Amino acid sequence: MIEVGKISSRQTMWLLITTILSTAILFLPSIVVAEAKQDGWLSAVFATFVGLLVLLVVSTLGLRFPQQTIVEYSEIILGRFLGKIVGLVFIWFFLHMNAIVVREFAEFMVVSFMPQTPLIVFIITFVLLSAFVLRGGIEVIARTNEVFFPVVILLVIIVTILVVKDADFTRLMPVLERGIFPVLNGTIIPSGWQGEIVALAFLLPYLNRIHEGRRAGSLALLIVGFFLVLAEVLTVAVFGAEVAARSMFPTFNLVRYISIAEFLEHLDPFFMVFWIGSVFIKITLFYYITCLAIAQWLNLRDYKPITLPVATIISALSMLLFDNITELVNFITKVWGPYALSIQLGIPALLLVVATLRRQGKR
Amino acid sequence: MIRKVFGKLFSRLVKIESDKKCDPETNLLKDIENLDLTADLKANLHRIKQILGDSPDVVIRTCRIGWKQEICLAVIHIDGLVDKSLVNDDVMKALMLEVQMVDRKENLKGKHILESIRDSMLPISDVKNVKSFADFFDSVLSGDTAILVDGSDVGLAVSTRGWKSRNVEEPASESVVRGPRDGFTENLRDNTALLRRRIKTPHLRVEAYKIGKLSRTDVEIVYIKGIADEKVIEEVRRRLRRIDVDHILESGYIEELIEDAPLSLFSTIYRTERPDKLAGGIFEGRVGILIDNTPFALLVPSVFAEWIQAAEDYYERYPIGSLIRLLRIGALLSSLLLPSFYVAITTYHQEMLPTVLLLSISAAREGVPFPAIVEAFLMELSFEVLREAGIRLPRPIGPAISIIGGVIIGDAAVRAGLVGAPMVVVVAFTGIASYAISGYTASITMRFLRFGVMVLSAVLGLYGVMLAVIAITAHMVSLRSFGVPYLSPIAPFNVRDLKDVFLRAPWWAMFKRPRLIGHNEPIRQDYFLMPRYFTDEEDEPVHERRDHDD
Repeated sequence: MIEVGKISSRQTMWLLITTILSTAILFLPSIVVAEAKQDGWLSAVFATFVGLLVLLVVSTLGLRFPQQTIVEYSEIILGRFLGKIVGLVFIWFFLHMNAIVVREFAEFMVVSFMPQTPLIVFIITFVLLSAFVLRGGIEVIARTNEVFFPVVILLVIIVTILVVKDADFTRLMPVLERGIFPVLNGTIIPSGWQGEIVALAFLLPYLNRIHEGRRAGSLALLIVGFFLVLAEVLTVAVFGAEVAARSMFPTFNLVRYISIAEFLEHLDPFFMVFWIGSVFIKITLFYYITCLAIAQWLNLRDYKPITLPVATIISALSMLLFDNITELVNFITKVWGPYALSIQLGIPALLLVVATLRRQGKR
Repeated sequence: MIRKVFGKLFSRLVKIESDKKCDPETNLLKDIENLDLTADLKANLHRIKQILGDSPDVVIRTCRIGWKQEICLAVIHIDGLVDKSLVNDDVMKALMLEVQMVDRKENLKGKHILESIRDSMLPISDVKNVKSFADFFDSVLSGDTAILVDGSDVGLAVSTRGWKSRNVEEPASESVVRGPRDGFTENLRDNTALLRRRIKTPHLRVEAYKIGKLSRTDVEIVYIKGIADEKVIEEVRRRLRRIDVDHILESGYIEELIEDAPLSLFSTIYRTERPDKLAGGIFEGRVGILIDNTPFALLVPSVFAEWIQAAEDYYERYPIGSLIRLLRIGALLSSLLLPSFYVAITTYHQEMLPTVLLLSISAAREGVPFPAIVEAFLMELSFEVLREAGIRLPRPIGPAISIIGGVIIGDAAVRAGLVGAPMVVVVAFTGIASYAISGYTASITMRFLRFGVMVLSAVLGLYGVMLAVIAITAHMVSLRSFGVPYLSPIAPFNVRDLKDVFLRAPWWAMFKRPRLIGHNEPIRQDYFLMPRYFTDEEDEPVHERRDHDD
């Protein structure tokens, strides 16, 4: 085994929540609201169901091959050659996804806080720190998350309480004004996020009680779904659908909206700090999965020697993928959903069908 | 990676040393090794004199005793390490008078004189046989009195230890307002007695080790059998056994030689000079390590949460204990982060400050030629120097220096326009906050890390602070102390054990021992011990009561 550490189901759940929620809560509302207007929250609900579907497929597969990750058992299911191709697809997917997340993070930092600092500064410092944390294995990532997670959730709740007085819930009316199709259209993008639950395909073998994996995953999805709905509802209720769709980071604007006793204002850097913590966890987890997958794909004994090369690839890729933030948002809006879902849902579903037909693995 | 680099560096340094191939210690130790006492008293004494040299504090008394003065024996002890009155009144008197009387009646000559002396004549409880010179020297040099009889190849070691030692006093580094005021002393036996006074269960175990090839320091591990994790105890034994240094002067030596993370800034072993703290840890299932000649005892496994727990939290009522603990957590965080926050906010995120405050800060900083980070470094460094000087100075001058230093560095630096007044406030607060942490080691670690965080905050603002916090957190969660994750119960998260981290739960709610430490015997006490009135129908729970006759 490349990874000897074990994580508990609670750690897994928290890890998955942080992973999905950290970028989703920042980028999704404006994109979804642009599609579904005031019904954005319905899109979030539907997306959660898509996520649950992905989870169902991935966990069923994982329970069939409890000792292995998807890179390993795809070779058993599809044979060596096709299996390797599937493994490569997953390695690319996580590499690509991570590069995008790193870029999202860096763009956000530049746009919102330090407009004069070059992107590359954020990318390199972050990825290098990630590489440092990565060496401790999955246990260290999970525990680091355990330190930040309660604080982040607490802050989200505090923000909710503080902005709710400015919310006008009539802005959510009328429901389904333009029929169900805009809502379904708006579902695709958040589904790509909820589908990140596919990471569980790599974590399941390292759970100390693998049977709790499915429960942990579904709880994670439901909690993420709840917070996404909350974010959609609040942004629309506070700003209205038009304004929310036009601003880049509407949830972040909610934080800027806070004013306590006209003394504590502009607390956004403070919240940004904790948001950085959760994005960091997300990047580190994907980075870890990439390294783990590559090590398993190449039959290496250890993933540590490839961390720094992978760090270089991630940094370079995230710089080269897009020219500017508009291109990034465009990619997320137009391409990301279908592309991600085909890998997150399509490939595991295919594997599951073949495995069932060939009666492979435990049942 | 860091471990590897440092390991290589250290081993290279060590290699240079070992190339010289001079190892005087082995020569020193060789002449006693595997050497047994002989039946010839003269030969024995000759060898002893040869090995000990003629130091004036070595007392070798040869005498002829018995009714006809036919029995030759020698009494050997080190002056100053023994209780003179005990040696004279009990050992010598017994040998000279008692033996004579018995000899007159029974004629001891030709019998096992040594056995009869040991079994029926010596009025002292702790007597051991010694067979080898190694044992002989271990005993005599620890304060025993040895008796060698001509014709017997076994000697007696009579426990007559007694030397000038400090009284049990209030511990200087950990004082409390409410709580016991006795602290450990330099005498190992006094220390185990202080523990025994608190832990009267027969399951308390004390295991003795002698560590240090030349110093032969007594080290004892203390735990409650059945509560402490056998694996941890075995690990402690194993790590103690592999220590192979020539001397141990303080518990710090042992700490450095057995800790889990020798390259980390964080100490994974707790040290205390309070017997109540050590006892509290032992009751939870930890293992204590007591070392002779130092009042500081070690406690393993240790977790980070202990740094914010003070003995007093448990003695004051729980709301007070909890609130003070919250305060201490705030102090810990601000001693690590406050200057960095100040630098980051005034340099990068001025919008976070309320306008009026921002105006007053910038007014105060007007005319200061340095950027905030230089200011911060100037002040922090001078504070550290002041603090260090305050400790090293002779006691009467100490306060004077700190007052002068404080006034000069605080007030005059502001007036001279070297630093802004807000920075002085921040630094002063940080300095005070670092003393609110209960562990002295912890406050030093925090102060060290503070400088690193400050640099990052000056370069990258709050983002830099967060990078530092992530790095520190990730490092801390990767540490373990004797198998227990260092940041537990926060990570790995355990709700039940949080009862004793951020808050201190009332004693009637502490049903269970910490999960990762006391899992051998998790139940500490009965549930529902919360005090309340019992109505007549209800039976008051019957508890074991001590009889009050005594």
